[in-house]
Amino acid sequence: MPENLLGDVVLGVGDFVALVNQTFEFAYPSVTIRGELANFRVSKNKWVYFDLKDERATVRFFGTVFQLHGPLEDGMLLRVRGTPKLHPQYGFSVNVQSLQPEGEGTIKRAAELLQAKLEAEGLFALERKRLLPYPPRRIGLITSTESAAYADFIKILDARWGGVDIQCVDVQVQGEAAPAQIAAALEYLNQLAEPPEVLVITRGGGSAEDLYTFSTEQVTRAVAASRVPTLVAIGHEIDISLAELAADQRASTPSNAAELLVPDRKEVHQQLQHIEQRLHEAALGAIKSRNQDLKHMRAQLDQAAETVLRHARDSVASYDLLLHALDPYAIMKRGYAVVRLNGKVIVKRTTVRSGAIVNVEVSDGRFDAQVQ
Amino acid sequence: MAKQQMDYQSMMRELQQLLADMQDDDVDVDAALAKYERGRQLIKELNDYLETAENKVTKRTLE
Repeated sequence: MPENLLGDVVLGVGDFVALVNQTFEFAYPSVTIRGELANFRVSKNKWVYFDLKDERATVRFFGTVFQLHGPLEDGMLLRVRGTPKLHPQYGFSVNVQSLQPEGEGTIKRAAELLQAKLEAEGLFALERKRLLPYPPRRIGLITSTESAAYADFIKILDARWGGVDIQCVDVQVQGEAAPAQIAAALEYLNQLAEPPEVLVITRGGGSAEDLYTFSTEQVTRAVAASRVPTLVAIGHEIDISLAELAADQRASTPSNAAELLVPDRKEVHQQLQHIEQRLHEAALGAIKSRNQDLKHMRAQLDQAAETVLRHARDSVASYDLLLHALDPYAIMKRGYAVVRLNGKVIVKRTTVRSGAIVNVEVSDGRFDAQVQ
Repeated sequence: MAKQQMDYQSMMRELQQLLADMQDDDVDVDAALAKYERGRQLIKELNDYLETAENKVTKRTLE
């Protein structure tokens, strides 16, 4: 028989409640209970009341809307962590610390409900999508650095490209703490003095429960609110998480994310070769076209020179004719003579005296003669 | 490294603009040859970058 600590002590009602609560706090500071959601209601947009039940029992829960990861509806399977409490007026309930949908069906339904709500707000609208810089200089990476996803992403990035500054924030990518850590990492990277040019949130594949983090309201809203463009890559192919829908771009796997972010240096080498070839052709083209211009100018120059020469030849010929007409020897042949006295041509009778010896030049020679 | 990467983007932009300029029919031959020389220099620097640039990872854990 266990010892009865209280013996015959009689307690007041308030004392009993305090005692029970002390006992709960000591023995069960936190319990995790799984059950089907029933009687879910939200009061004043702040307080949340619901029951969890199974085939044998029903337990009441009390929490706040801030603990919800999205809309809920009766019939969902939930896993709730909380502290048992005996309320002085309202009786027993469990105060919620955290809750998560359980099972593929519930998770899918929870995501559907949240998707409809956020879609109505325009969070997934195509016109919100921004282009990612290509290639980025700075990447903010949000993932578990212990994961294969991290290793794959870095491996493919290194294999393809270099020179990227990667700020990596190590977070849990599943479990209770994951949504808040991912949201905090998004905020942290956004507020850096020199923020990354793109934020990558990635993890490998997993069960519906593992991936639920990426369909929670907190993560989806944080992705949508990021001022830096986002790329979300969750390694699964069947259902797309809400964070992927909210991202500017999604990738199918961590490796695929690295492939989308940066070019392959081999391809860029080839592209550069191609550009070099085109540069060469363009330079040759410019020279060729200049050569054509020069040929054309040369022809024009030749033609101009020809014209000048022809004019000059015509001009010379006419001077020749004129000169010929004025040639004194031609006149002498017609019987005229040039008379000189001491080498000076006599043009007036008065310049020679009678008896002077003058020299007379005719067309074929000279002779002296005496003036009478 | 980050500095080099910035150079990659601006060098690639300059190279593509330069090629477009050179392919213009009205390009001046002296300008085309100067651009050609600049283009070859950019290609060399870009190839060097592709050979040598490395990624740098800084890991952080939020408290």
